[in-house]
Amino acid sequence: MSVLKKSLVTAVCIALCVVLPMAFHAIPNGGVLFSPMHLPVLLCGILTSWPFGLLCGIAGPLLSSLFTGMPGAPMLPQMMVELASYGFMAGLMINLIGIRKRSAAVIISLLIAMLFGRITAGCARAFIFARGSYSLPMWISSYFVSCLPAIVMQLVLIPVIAAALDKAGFTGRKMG
Amino acid sequence: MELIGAYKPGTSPLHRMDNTARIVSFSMLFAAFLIASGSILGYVFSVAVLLVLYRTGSIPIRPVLHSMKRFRMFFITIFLMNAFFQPSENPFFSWWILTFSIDGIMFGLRMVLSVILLTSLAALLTAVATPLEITDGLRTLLHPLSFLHIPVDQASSIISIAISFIPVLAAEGENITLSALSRGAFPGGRKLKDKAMSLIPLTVPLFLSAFRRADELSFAMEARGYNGSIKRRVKLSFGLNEAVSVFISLSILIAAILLKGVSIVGS
Repeated sequence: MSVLKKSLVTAVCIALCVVLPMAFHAIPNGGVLFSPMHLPVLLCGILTSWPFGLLCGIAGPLLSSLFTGMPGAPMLPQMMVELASYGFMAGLMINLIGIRKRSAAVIISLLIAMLFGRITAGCARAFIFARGSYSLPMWISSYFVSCLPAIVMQLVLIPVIAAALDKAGFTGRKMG
Repeated sequence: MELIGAYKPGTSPLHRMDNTARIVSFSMLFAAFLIASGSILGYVFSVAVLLVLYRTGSIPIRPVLHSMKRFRMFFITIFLMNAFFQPSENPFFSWWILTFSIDGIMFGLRMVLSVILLTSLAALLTAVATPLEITDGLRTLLHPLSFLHIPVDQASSIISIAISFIPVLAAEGENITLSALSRGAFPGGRKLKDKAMSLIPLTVPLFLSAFRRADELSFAMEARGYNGSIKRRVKLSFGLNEAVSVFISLSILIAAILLKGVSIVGS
């Protein structure tokens, strides 16, 4: 994939970070349950590479906050840290994992990125954004329990979309 | 789909400001609101500043507050998460990982208030400046990073393209939703699983359509010889209006720091 195409994929994913949550907010509490902004960021990292994934993770929530007011400004920095970690690690792992079967590489990259992002965001909240008022139960409940539907949806949807794009010849790769 | 703080053309001092000075001023105001939050005096101060700013920008605040109603579930979730998971020495009750206390309730209320105040300030920024003006201001501010070989120009181009994609993809999302509805694709069940499944006919086509647009645009740009190597000029016009605005924002920031100091000493 050329640098220009990677740039445009990143631009589209950033735009989806604004548009998708608007659709998901039609469901009561849909934004919190399904974390719609995570989908384009993780996909951007997997389709392009870590610098573009990182940019998507930073710019996506920033633009969404400016356009739709969500995430609210106090939540914005911690969300930027979390999503930037997802995009960065997804892009890094997909290039580092030496598995020839692409679908397996996508799922492993996703799992590592999702875990890395949650740990980074938890550390950021514990040591910077909510210093002294953050606990392990809060981390488990906010990053694993309350967003379990989101984790399942991301693990199902992202490999499906990546496979569809590979099959259409968009990425120049073949899904194994 | 409704956007909070959509741009409203005007001739107010906030509209006429230089893009970079506007970003600097608003950043200081964001910092001031964050610092002032936590005490009643701080919230009164922030609300007063916010009302004056909306008046200066000739932007009505009521539609912004009204449009926040649709985030009520989000606010309730933030409140409950803080009310039930905030560690406290004097809880009403405590069971497993749940701790319900007055500290948690107050912390939850403070969080919700801060979200509303800062979102209103962000809505004012987007109401007095177009997204491209905001990007332009950010690019000028981040320009020194290009000396460290960080591709600031490329990043700002990507953000500009992303901004122009937002209304296109929002319209595409509406079309996909309507066509899926006409085929009866949304089961609309009461269970969470049914609701989640109902979003798949929207999500997958939206992604594929968005990537198809990116593909077509990359072909068109490559055909015109675009390679992203042309650097744009940095524009900065710092006049009296900008100097006064930055000075007022700085004063508000200092006042917020002093207020925080007073509330800490008072408690």
